[in-house]
Amino acid sequence: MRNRNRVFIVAVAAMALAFLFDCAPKAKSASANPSRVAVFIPGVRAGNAIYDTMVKGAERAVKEAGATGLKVFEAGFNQAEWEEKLTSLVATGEYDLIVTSNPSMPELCAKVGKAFPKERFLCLDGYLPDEAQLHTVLYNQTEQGYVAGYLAGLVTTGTMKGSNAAKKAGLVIGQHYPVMDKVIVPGFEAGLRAVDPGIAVDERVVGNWYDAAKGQALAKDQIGAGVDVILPICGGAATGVYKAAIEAGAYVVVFDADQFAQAPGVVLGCVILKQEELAYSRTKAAMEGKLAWGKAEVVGMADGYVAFLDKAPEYIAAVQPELRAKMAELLGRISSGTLRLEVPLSRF
Amino acid sequence: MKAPARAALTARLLGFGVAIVGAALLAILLLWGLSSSFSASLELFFLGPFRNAWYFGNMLAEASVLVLAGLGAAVAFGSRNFNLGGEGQVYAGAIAAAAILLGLPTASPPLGIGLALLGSALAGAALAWFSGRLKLSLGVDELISSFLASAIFVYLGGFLISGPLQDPSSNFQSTASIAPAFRLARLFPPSNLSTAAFASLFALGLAMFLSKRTRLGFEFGLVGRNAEFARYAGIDTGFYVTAPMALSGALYGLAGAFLLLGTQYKAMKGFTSGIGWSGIAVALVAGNSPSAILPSALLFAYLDTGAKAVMIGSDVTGDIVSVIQATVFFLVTARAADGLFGTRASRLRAGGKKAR
Repeated sequence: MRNRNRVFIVAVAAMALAFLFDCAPKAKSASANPSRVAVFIPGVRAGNAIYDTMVKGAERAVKEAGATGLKVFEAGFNQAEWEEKLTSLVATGEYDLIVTSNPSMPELCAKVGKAFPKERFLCLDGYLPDEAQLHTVLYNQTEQGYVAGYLAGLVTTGTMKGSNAAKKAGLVIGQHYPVMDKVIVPGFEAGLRAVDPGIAVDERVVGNWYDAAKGQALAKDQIGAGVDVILPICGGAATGVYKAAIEAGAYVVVFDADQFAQAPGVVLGCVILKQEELAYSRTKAAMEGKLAWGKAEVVGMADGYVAFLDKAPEYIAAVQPELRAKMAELLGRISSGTLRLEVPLSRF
Repeated sequence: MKAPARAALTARLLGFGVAIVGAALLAILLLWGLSSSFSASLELFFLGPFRNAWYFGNMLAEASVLVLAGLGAAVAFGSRNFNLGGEGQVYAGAIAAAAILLGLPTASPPLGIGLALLGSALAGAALAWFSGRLKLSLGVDELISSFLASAIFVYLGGFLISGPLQDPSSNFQSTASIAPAFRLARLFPPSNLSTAAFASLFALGLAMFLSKRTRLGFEFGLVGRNAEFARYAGIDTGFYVTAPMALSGALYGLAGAFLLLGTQYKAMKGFTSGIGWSGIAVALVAGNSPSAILPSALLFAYLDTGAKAVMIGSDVTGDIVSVIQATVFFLVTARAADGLFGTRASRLRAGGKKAR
């Protein structure tokens, strides 16, 4: 019996040693340009146009490059699990370029990259300069917020059917984070006050990016307090905001994607990000070896990556001509450079 | 070991083995039906945890935290107290440790870590003790009260993390990171396995010693097996309501602290990822026996790591992986196969009685 135990222990020890020698992450074949691409979604793709369009853009670039398939990994809503999931994806050694999008991802990618120095990360909608393994692209969300605020300001001070006399605009956000607090919200407020300095902002926080019921309750409360137009920046929770606005006859201005179909007549305007185009162009550049690693760039309306959908039939049908004329005048000033709306990078 | 006891243990082990094999077969069947790359998914599910240092180290790191959480659940269940508030207690422990270490950034590491562990144990213990006290004083069912208190604290903890303790420079809903001096050394980089594993093993050894070698452990077990009998024997059974609950909460709190010190370095909203509930599963599989907690925690961590590997490396989605994982654990925890061998054990037990 004792001998049998000894044989067992020796066998287990031998297996453990053999495993330890074999268990380091496998070295990847060194290639000049990344060719094996994975998209890391910090959330879920369904119902999120920003992530969906990122996947479509990366898919197009990978297909054109003739590379084998694109891995799409959804990390879910729990932010605390993203780092482990991202590291797990990188640790497979099967991808040399990770494409992702979210203001929080650059800091995470930089951290994960330290253990995997050959890995490259393309982070859209984020900003982190001087990280050798990263290329980050931040949208000019000062412009985006300003345009949304300007339209909301025109609506709340105007004479549209759902407008009231309170001069109060609503903002429903998923959570506070630096880009939100230092770029988007100041941009939105500046846009509102460019119309009328007396407009008040009623800001509410959902606390997550998916709770539509809470989004609806918050919007309902805002409308009850005199808000007649709301900008929701709260992911899937925005569905609740649309619902509350439809029920109360209030209006919604949309960020990031074309959401007119969600609530025609209620969604007045969309200030979108051309995420698919950006994902496509930067993934393609990375695969061709033309992307500068360690660089952080800011793209906006002049580059064509932030746009207001002023030709959308829903916008033309829902918004009064005089308000549209004022919006056209604003867009003209931005595109001509008369009005410069910079991202305050020094505050990052 | 006497024959009837040996036979009972053999029957239980055989039942456990059959449950494991049955669960593995079921997992294979589900992967076969749900994955378009069956062989790759199969390999990832069963061998994924041994694929590289990252997966292997993380499996051990997860097991080390689960040992503490499993002990926390076992301490309560073993004394017939049902602490379902582990999730909130882990959260409370982690937040307390983070608050202490962020408040004392220049403290010496032994002092800072010592205070953080003490604070986390007290925070977890207080939350669980409250339910024990309610049971003793007002007859409130601790199963419900511990669950509700935990659920409330999860929201309160979320508020603290994204409110007063929020790191304003971070895009995450999280506290700032603790100072590097307080972070436990990593044993198997790049994985999360840290020296926290030694603390878990120490706690496990201490629990085994206390339960088998001390009067406290004996009384503890006696109250758990038959509280009425223990009361007649002169044991203060009231003490064995609040004390096990507090100890259970303290162990959960420590699990949260070691998660912070060894893995995450900051408290994030939702960062306990169900460890409190997993601790219950670990304790149930181990039959609340401290000596079986380690293999049970390893089994759980193995299944979880395999599930993560298959999710990353194949077309199987997270939802399907959760179904497979839950099915495997249901079979193992429910000990569905124990009865297959129970007859023989009963026969042997009966035979033993006759022989006496």
